[in-house]
Amino acid sequence: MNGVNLRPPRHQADPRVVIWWTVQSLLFAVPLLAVLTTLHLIFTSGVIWLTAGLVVLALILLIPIPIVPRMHYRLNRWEVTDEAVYTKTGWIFQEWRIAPMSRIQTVDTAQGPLQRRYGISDVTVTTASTAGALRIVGLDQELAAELTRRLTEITQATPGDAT
Amino acid sequence: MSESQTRGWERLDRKTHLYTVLSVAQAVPLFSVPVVVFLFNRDLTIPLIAAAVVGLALLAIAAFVALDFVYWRVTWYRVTPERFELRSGLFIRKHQFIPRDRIRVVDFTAKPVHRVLGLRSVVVGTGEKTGGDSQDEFKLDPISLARAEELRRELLDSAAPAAVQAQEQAQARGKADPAILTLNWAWIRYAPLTVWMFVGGTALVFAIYRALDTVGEPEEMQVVRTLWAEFTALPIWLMVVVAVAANLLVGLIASLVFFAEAWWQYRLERESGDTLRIRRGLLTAKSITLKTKRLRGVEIAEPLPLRWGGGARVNVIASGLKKDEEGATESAKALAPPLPVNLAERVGAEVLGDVPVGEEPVRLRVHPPTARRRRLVGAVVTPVILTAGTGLAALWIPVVPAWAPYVTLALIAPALLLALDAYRSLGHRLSGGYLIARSGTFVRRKVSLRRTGIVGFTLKQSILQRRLGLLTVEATTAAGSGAYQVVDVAFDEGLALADRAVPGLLTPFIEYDNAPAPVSADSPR
Repeated sequence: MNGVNLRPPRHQADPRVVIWWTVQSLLFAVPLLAVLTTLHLIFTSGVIWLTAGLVVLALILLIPIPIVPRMHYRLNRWEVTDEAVYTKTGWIFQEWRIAPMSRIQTVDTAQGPLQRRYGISDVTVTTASTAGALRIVGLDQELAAELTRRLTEITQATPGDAT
Repeated sequence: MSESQTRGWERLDRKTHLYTVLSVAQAVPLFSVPVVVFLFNRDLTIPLIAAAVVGLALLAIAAFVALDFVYWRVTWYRVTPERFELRSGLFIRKHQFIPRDRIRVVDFTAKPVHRVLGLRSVVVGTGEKTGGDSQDEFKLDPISLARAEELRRELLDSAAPAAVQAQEQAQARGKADPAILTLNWAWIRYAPLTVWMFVGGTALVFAIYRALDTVGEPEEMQVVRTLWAEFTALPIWLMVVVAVAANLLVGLIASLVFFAEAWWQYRLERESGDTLRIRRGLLTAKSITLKTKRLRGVEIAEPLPLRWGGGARVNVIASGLKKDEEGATESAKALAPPLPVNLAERVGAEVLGDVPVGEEPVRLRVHPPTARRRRLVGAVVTPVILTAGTGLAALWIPVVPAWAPYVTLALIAPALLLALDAYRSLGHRLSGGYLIARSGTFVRRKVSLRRTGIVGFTLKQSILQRRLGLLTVEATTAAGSGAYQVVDVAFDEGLALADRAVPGLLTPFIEYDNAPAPVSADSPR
């Protein structure tokens, strides 16, 4: 493209996100399919198109499970320099977000119950704009805490109200 | 309240009781209608009904005045050097405050009763929704007009009282009129080109229905039934014509009335250098003050009908702007009524203050032809998919008429015209301290965003855009809708634009495949 390009952010999420996302998807898909299959076996007398529908649903739910988490892991990238926070997400809709350090208002970490099991957490960086924050998903929890501390330090040292 | 606490504390205006009496009294006629109907149906004589209505009215007035008296007794406010404080509450006493350096809003409204008594309802606030310890907004209702003006000056202009006085003296001597714009009734010609024109009639029908509903079942009323019967007796084409004509006629009247109500005595002025003030309103008078420090830019918006008429709206992009109230006939961000587009541009430039006024508007950079192709393809593909859908529906579903697919196919023609127009709308430019971006068909918007107000970038590219070499650059900001887009710009040009709009922000993340030279193909602004 005419020689100019955006280089991707340097870092990826922690590799454990793949397991986390996989387990999370399974925890949704498997019980749902189990309940539907049980209902099907008990209450319908083996209607063929209902069985077919159930199989299709199972495929739709299960096929992405080994693929999508790996894709997410490959596509979501982040980087924090002394001047800015930089993230990239998506494939069909690619999105690069850049926020200068001087305009950052808050930095939060969040950790769901399943994430805690795998020792990973998310970092959310907000600016004074209402149009969405920068999210870095699935960092090692120690790294996330360290990053939050560093970002908070830098933004507090910056004068002004970041608007 | 003890002695030491009363220092500097003030109450709302004493006329509040009179205000309550008049407010309740003016609502009496409306509320007495269902009462009268109810009693009349019980065969009471006229004098008895009159007595009942008067009695109920007096009772209501007494009750509201009593409540108001209690409210007035317990409500106090004061301005200290550090903060604006409010005490209120009878059983649960509240003591709330806003730090003075966070106060951005001191706006008044005056309903007709306020105006008769020389009172104002005043909102003091930060213009934000934070949900922290301190409050975001207080309402003082009512206080006297003089006190309201004093508060406004005290809370918003505390830095430069001398400048204000000097300006007032100048005004008194009749030298420089600080007004940027005052109402020109010729602009009312744009009123019918607004949304009221199309929904006015329907809105009126709903309003009448609601009013009748308080009296009884509208469906059962003789007048309504006769009208409905006569209407449904017409041939279908005449029914449509009558409905559309009635809607347009009522819409026309409604749009003119709303214009007059919203913009009567409209005046936009700059005060002592760092605040803008808008005053307007016929029945409900409003005063809105805007610190220029909060300005992040200006938007020229042209909804399609208005654009056909050569008109445009000019809106502010400012941090901490109040959300629109429900039922308000004008948006809070509107700087002016719909104006001729050239004038709208001039007013926008003058409000921003640091744009050279009087010059030709800057020429925007044209977006690549692939952006046009994307729109044209969309204009063909969407109707074709629709046609396929309606075609199948016409085959299989009996109620779908056979001509439906032809209608959806015929949509291609207007869609192509809209697509070309959408492409023509696209444009962007860096000009002085501003990032200018234009896009949109149904509402064409040209945004001039202060580059110092940009708090980040979001660059977006779908697979389709990637194939066409396009990029959407979104500048995020702490005002207005939070983000403003440069849609479908050439990829490298978009990167260069973002990189120059906020120098240095993107630079470390941009790579040059050939030589690491700066973007030389792009002319400087």
